Amino acid sequence: MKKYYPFYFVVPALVPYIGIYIAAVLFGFGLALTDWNVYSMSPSQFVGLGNFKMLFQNWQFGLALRHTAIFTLVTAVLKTVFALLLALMLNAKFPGRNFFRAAFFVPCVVSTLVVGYIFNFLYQADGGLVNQALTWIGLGSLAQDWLGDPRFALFSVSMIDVWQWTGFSIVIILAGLQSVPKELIEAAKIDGAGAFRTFQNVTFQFVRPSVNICIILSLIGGFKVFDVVMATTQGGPGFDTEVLGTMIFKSTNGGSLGYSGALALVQFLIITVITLPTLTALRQKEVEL
Amino acid sequence: MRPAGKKLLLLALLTAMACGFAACGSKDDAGGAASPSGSAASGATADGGNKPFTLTMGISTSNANKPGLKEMVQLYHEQTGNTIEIQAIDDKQWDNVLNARVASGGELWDIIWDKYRWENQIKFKAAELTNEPWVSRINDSVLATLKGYSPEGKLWAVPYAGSQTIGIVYNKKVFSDLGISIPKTIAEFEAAADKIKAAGITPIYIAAKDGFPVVQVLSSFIPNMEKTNPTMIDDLNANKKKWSEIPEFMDWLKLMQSWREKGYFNKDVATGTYENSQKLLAEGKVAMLFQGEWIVADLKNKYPDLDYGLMAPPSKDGDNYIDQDNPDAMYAVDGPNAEHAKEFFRWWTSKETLDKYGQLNPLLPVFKDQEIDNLNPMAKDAQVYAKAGKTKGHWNNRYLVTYTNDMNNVLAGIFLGTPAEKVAQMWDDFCISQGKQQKLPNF
Repeated sequence: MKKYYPFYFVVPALVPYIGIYIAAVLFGFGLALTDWNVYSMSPSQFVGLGNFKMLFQNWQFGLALRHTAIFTLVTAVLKTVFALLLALMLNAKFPGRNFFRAAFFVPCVVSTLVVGYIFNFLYQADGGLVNQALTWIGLGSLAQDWLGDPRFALFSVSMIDVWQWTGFSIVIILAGLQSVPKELIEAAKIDGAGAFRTFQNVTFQFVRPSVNICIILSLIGGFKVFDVVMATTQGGPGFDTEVLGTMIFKSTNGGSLGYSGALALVQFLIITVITLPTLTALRQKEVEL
Repeated sequence: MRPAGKKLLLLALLTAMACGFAACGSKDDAGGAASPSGSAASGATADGGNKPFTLTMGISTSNANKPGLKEMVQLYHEQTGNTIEIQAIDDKQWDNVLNARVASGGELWDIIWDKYRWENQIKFKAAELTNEPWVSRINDSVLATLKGYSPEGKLWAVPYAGSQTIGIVYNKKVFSDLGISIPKTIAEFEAAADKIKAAGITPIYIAAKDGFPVVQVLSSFIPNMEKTNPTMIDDLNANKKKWSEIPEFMDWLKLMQSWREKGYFNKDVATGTYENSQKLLAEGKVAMLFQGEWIVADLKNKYPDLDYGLMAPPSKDGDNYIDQDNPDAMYAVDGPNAEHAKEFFRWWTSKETLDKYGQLNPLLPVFKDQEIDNLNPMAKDAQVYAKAGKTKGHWNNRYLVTYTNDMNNVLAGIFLGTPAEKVAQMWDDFCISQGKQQKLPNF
């Protein structure tokens, strides 16, 4: 009886989770095998892999996948690197440390839509704060239409994501930094290790699990990106910031629920195929301490 | 306080809060749509008798702000005591909000404004209006077009404004200062554009950032295409031909490519906006825009001194046609309030009401007995084409593939440097993929 106690306590949460979330996801996967369109007068039919065939023949899918991959790579790398550097700085003792820790975390609690709308103004070609700041410091020649120029739009949207979510990664890595034993740092210093060697061989080994979590979460978040793109460019200019999330949204809005279900399933599989091996590879590099 | 007492107090507070939250929502508040009014569609408060009723109308913001609608709704309230609650949705969100409500089976408004399109009667579950008393007063050609959208030849919405045209809006002062008369052939047009460009003025402004201005270029040229290929839309609908197999369409793409290479378009096509295009036209820095009559309200409010007109795009032989869009329409959602909506439509289509509305928003009339004597500059020029029989019904209302914003992005490629053949291929792929998703026959 006692060994079932944990199960009894989990059931009230598990039942609605399965009923509402898992069942809905499975229903969505089932939809992907039909040609259901809410605006069509003909009833929906089972089409097997027909939606997937249409999807892989669609140039827009290839474009969206490429943009999503670029967005994910850029944001995952930058968020992790910036978070690691900032966490190391924020781990040191200095006046106002707690203020800066909070300041870096604040963007995470702001709605992504709100952040997107604010950056719409910051990035404006005429009168936007970014271009004004560049002009003030004598770099006016670098001023661009950050969201309207196809050369910069995807990069600009990626930077918004980095700005907003680096704080979240900082918190995770900071937590990992608390587990670094001070005696090992002192021992390394006594042995003559410099700051970089100490960080590389001692600190980073303890922090590696936290960094790995940040990388995995960034990868998953990157492949699921939607709200920041919708709030800023809606996939434009042209299709230069079209991502899988916006493609699913537009397809659903067009009434093609079967097709958008197929898109969503492909997105899920891509995330799974990329993150699981990545997680395994990263875990193998973790040291038993 | 004893622990039991504290627990009882906490329980009482929680219960009071729950009751308070439940009481905060009114009968009309169904969860907060994106409309400025903050409430979702509501049912009428009518009881089927003679008591005043309230109907909700879903409409995009720019159309809600067009001259005349709010005044007429106010007049209706004063004359009948009934209320039409306009719930305006931001233009950029209109399609998304509307489609999301339809797809989710959520509550729709009692009346929906939209273009008269073939799929709307299914989407909105519209009430049929074929036998309404005002139907026989609609202009025969307009009525035939509207009924043509329904396989059974039925009517599903009431035209609520006049007919709008799409073509080239031009700054008359720029033309007169440079001594340019209205070009009819492509050669004449290019000579005029060269002269305009030499004067340091941008001949044509394309606002690709806002999406919809791009398709107006295609819409403007299609009447001339249909002049030589009258079955092109039918062939496309039946998927007998792709767009890239329509010679007139390919010629148009190549013409646009050549115009881009000659520098007839603005340099900031990708970031050009609809608002900026109006400003530059009014300032005389741009000579021409491809636009529809909806631009008139903005030009009248913001640039009342601008002297502008409408002309048809050029063709090889100079015999040019202009695009005449379907009138904006109001649909009554089939439901408990449909009869009240039909009452409102009968009031709206009375000659007295139409004449009053026409004074406020003068467009080409669609009702036989409608008299409008203060047509806007574009409508005046359009009337010349209409009387000469040089108009064609708007292609997008007859094309079965649903036009999406993404298709604007595909077309924008021709103005941004993508070769004509590539644009045609992408356009075909997009239209066919859309057609398949819509399960259109033969796709």
